[in-house]
Amino acid sequence: MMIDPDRDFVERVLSGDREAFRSVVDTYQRKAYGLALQMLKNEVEAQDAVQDAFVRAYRGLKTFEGQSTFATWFYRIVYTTCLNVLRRQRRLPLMEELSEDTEAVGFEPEIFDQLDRELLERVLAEELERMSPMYAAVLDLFYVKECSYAEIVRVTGMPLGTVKTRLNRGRTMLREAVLQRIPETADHPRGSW
Amino acid sequence: MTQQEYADLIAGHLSPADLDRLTAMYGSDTITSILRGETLLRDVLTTVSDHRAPVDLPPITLDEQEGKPLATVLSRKTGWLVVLGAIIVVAGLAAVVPRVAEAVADTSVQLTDPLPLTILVILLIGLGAMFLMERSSDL
Repeated sequence: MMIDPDRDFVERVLSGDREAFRSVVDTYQRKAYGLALQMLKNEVEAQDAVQDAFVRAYRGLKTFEGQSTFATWFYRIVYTTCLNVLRRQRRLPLMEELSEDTEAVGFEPEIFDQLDRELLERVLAEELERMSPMYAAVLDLFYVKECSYAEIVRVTGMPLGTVKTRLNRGRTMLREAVLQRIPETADHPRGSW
Repeated sequence: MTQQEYADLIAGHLSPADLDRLTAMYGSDTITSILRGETLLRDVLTTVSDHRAPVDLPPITLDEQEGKPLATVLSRKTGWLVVLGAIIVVAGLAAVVPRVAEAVADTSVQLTDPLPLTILVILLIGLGAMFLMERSSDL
């Protein structure tokens, strides 16, 4: 049985308690903004998208059937709102076909010792800024929002294999960006475990 | 390690038997290293995400347009286009309005004369700006 920590708020809002939605906003505004910023790469547009997503969520709450958590349902609204913005601006990237058979790439723990934390954060932020919205969104959902693969599938509508592949590809891009800033990277295997 | 195995490992989706199999194939040091690296990466990415969000995000209003500042109703680029269009229209009208009365009374004025042409251009610019505004607010 799936336990949704937001179920109480949802039921209060549905019963007419408009102020209960404030709690939902307080809980999810920054998280939604983080996802929107990863996709839109623009602070004003991200704020607009979050505003629109909350309005859509509020208006569409009666259609929320509880088959997923409220968080997953809401992130789906944020994601599709951002996709609509990208589509309208013709900024929706064409995604290349990625093989599911490629080797996995991960961050060796030693990498985190070889770069100053502040610099590491800056390098990752810059790479996320450059990264295609579809990769950045999957990384954000997995690492920051701590969504499961099944939840990411629900949010993005991507097949499970695509989610895993994009996660691997996104992680690879981040790792390569970091390795370029570490002079002694020759000791690191370039790519796989 | 395949990305499928890696994905299942970092998500904790492996059964004890599969975890044993991976450990036998790649060694426990590798498995430990992967999980440690993932924990560190998650920590850094969460911090990056927190730092990128402003401390005070604008308040959310539940009525679609009510209380939304112009900059959030329109995208920044389109907003400036509309403002520019409006300035052109106002400036153009201010320049030609005094002459419109003369032109209306003068039946010899042709469409290709400078004054009607100017008015036509101004109207087209204004309509263009309105069209862009309509597109930008079609959310």
